[in-house]
Amino acid sequence: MTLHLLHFSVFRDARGCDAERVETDAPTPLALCAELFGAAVPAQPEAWARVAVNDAFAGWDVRLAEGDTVVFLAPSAGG
Amino acid sequence: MTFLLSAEPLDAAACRAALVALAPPGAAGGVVAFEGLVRNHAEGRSVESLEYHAYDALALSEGSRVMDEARERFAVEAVCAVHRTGHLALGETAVWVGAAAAHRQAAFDACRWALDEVKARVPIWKREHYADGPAEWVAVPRIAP
Repeated sequence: MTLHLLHFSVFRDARGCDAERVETDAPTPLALCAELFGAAVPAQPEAWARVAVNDAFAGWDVRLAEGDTVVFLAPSAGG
Repeated sequence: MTFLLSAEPLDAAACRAALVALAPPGAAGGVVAFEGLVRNHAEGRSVESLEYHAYDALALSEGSRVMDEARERFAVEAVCAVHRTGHLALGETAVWVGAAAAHRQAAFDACRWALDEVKARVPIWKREHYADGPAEWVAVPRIAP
């Protein structure tokens, strides 16, 4: 399936782009994170990061679908 | 809208006017506002400037949700906030949060709570530019490229 990815913060630095389209069989954001970042990401991203699917917070084990937009969210630091 | 992002410098007077306009006419007996400024140091390092990056769609929806929750939790007439994006110089306002209420305690409490929630929940990231080294993202683990 094709997914749209938006990247911010350290995830953007790691991928070297703001957005991209990927072909993947990763069924969940957790699997997709491992596929994209592998060992470069600290273990258990679900413990320190969040994920959004289609502009809403989502669980790391939600089932991804064709055309979804996925964003990995490093800890916020506004203010 | 009760939560906005702005790529332009914030005007505190305009923010206050917008807050008061959200409250029923004559209902607010006081306004409490917090302005977060870009300071020249962090964790013992000299800071020269800041960048704020936001995931706009989710930042706007989550920020508005925080404002809605603040109105539900505290006896306030209105709560709103604006957060900067882009590259900010020292002294610029990074965030403005305001609460209007009939009585001051609720306004103080709501303002503080809303600011804390914005910082914790709204997907906005800060990159500090230091005098003594390369810029770094704040409060995030390092990811190898």
